[in-house]
Amino acid sequence: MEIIFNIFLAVLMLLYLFLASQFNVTTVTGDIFGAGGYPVVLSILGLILIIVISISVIKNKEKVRIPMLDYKSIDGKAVLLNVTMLSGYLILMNYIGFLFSTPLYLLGSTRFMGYKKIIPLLIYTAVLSIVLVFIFGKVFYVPLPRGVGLFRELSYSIY
Amino acid sequence: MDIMIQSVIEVMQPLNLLLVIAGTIFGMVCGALPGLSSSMAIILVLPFTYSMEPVTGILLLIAVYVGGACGGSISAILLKTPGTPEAVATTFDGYPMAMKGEAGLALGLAVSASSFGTIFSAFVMLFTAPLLAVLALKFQSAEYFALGLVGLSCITSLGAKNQLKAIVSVILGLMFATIGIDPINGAERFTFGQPFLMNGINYIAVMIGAFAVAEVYKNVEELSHRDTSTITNSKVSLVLMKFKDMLKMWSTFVKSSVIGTIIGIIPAAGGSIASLIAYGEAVRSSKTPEEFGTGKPEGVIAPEASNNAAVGGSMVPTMVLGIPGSPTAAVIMAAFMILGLRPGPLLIREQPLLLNSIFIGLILASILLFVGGRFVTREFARILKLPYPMLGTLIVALGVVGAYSLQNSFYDVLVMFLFGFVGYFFHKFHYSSSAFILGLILGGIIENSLRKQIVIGDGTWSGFLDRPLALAILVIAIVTFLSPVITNLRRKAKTAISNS
Repeated sequence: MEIIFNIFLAVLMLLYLFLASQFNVTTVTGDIFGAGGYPVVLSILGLILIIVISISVIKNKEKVRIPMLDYKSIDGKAVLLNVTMLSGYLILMNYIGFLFSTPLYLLGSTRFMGYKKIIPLLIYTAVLSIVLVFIFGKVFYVPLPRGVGLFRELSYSIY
Repeated sequence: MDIMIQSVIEVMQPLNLLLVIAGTIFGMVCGALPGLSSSMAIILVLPFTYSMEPVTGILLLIAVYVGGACGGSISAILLKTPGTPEAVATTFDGYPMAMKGEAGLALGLAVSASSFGTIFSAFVMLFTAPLLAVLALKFQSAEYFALGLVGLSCITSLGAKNQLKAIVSVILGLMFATIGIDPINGAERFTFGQPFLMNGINYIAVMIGAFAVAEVYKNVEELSHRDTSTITNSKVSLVLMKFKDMLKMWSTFVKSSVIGTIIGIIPAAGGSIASLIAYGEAVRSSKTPEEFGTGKPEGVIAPEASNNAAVGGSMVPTMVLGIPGSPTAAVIMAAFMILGLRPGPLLIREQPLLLNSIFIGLILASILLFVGGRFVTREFARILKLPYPMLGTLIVALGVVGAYSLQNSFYDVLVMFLFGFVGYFFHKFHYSSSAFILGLILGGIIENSLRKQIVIGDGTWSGFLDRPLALAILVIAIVTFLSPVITNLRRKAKTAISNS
C-alpha cells in the first residue's frame, strides 16, 4: 500500500516536472532560474528521495493498513461515511446555503457517528448552527454561502 | 522619566484601560476562532478608532494584536486547529498535551509564554527601537533567503522518526507554494487557467484540512472500536505551572523571545515564521529532542513566546521606518495614518508619548492575557466535554466556516476538504503534515528572495557570498539542519557498538 502511495507521489512530481519544464524562458535579465527552474530542481530532488524511500519500504516490507480504503471493515465504513457526509454537506451548501445545510450535516453526521440521544442532538444542532451563523454572518459580516432561489432569499432575512 | 510617568497616567485613564481590557479579550476570542486572525480582528475594530484620540486608538489595536497572537493557541491546543497562522507550531505539542489530559497546563504555558514574550519585546522595543530599525534595514533578499532556510532547517527535528519522509513532505510543501503567479516574471504557474489559483493556495485552509479534518477522520476510525466518549472527562481550565518549574525552562522562554523579537523586527516576516524557527531551535537544543511532538511543555512555550515577542518586535520597523514588521502590523500602520500619525523616523520625536504608551499598553495587555485567558479558555474548554461525535462535527463545521471566511471563497473550503485526505494519508504513511505546512509557508519567501538576489547579482551567486549577515544566517541554517541528523547517526553508531 505504501508503495502505491509513493508511486502516486512520484507521478505527481513527474507531472509537476513536466509542467515546470514547459514554462517560458525568463524575460528578466539575471534570473537564471526563470519561472520553471526552481520547480524543476524541487521535483528532481523529490523524485530522488521518493526512490530512496521506496527502496527502503520494499526492503522492510512493512504493512500499513488504511481503513479509509477498506470499506468492509467497521472503522473503514465509519470513516467513509464521514467523508460522504462531509462531501454531501459541501455540495448541498452551494444549493441550499450554509444556513440550511449546516443543521442537516450536524444532525446526520453526529447520528451516523453513533450518537443516539435525539433531544440533546437536536439542541446541539440548533444551538451550534445559530451560533455559527450569528458570529460569522452577523458579527463578522462574513457573506456565508446563501444557496439559490428561495434559500437565498431566506438567508437575506437572517444575515 | 517624565514621559514614562505621563504615559502610565495616560494608559491608566479609565477609557484607555477599559479599551485595553476589551481589546485583549476580543483579540483572544478572534484568535481562538479558526479563520479569523489578528489582522481580521484589528480590521473589525479599526472603524471604532476613527473618533478616538491617537494614543487611545493605537492602544486598543495593540491590545487586540496581543490577544490575537495568544488566542490562536487555544484552538491549537484544544482542537488541533490553529486559530491563527502564528499558532501552527503550537499544535505540534499543545494538542498531544491535551490528549494526555494536560490541556489546562498547555493553555497555562501558552498564556505564560505569550505574556513573557510580549513583555520581553516591549522592553526591547522601548530601549532599542532606533538601533534595531537600522539593523532591519540591512535585511535584503539574501538575508530573507537565509532566514527562510533557517525556518526550513527545523524539518530534521520535526521528522525525527523519519527524516527522509520529512524532507519529502517539505519539498511537497515548497512545490505547492509555487502555484500561482510567478512574482519575478508574472507567468502563471500550475494554475490550469483557474482564477482562484492565481493567488496560490491559502495555507490556512491547508492547515485546517491537514490538521483538523484529518484528525477527525483518524478519531472516527478509533471511535468505531469503542463507545462514544469525550476526549476528556476532567475539567479544563487554565493551569499555571509553578514558578520554580517554569524557571527550569528559562532558556526556552528567553531564547524564543529573542528569536521572536528579532524576526518581528525584520519587515514582513511575522509571528508565524518566528514561531516555527523558535520551535525548531527548541528541538535542536533539547537533550531529549525525540520527546517533541508527544506533548513536551517546551514545544508549547517556544512558539508562543516567540509569536508574541514578534508583536513588540514588529512595531519597531512599523513606527520607526514606516515599514510594517508583519502583515498585522501593516494594518496597524494603516491605523496610524488614519489617526493622523506618520510612521517614520520623526514619529518618536514628534510623539514621544506614543512609544512609551505602546510600551505600557503591551505590558498591560500581556498581564491581561492571564485574566482573559482564564475566561476564554473556560468557555472554549466546555467544547471538550462534548461526546466525540458532536465534537468531531463541531470541528468540521468550524473548519468549513473558518476556511470560507479567509477570502469569502468556497474554493478554500475545497482546499480544506482535499487536504483532509492529504493529512490523513500522510499520518498513515508517516510523512509529516507539519513539515508540509512549513514548506508551504516558507516556500514563497525562499524562492522570491533567492531569485531576486540572483537578479541583483546579475545572474551570479555573489550576492550570497558578499554579505556577511546572510552568510552567518546560512551557517546557522546548515548547523540547525545537520545537528539532528548528526545526533541521530551518532546514536545509531553508539547502539551498534554497544550491541557488537
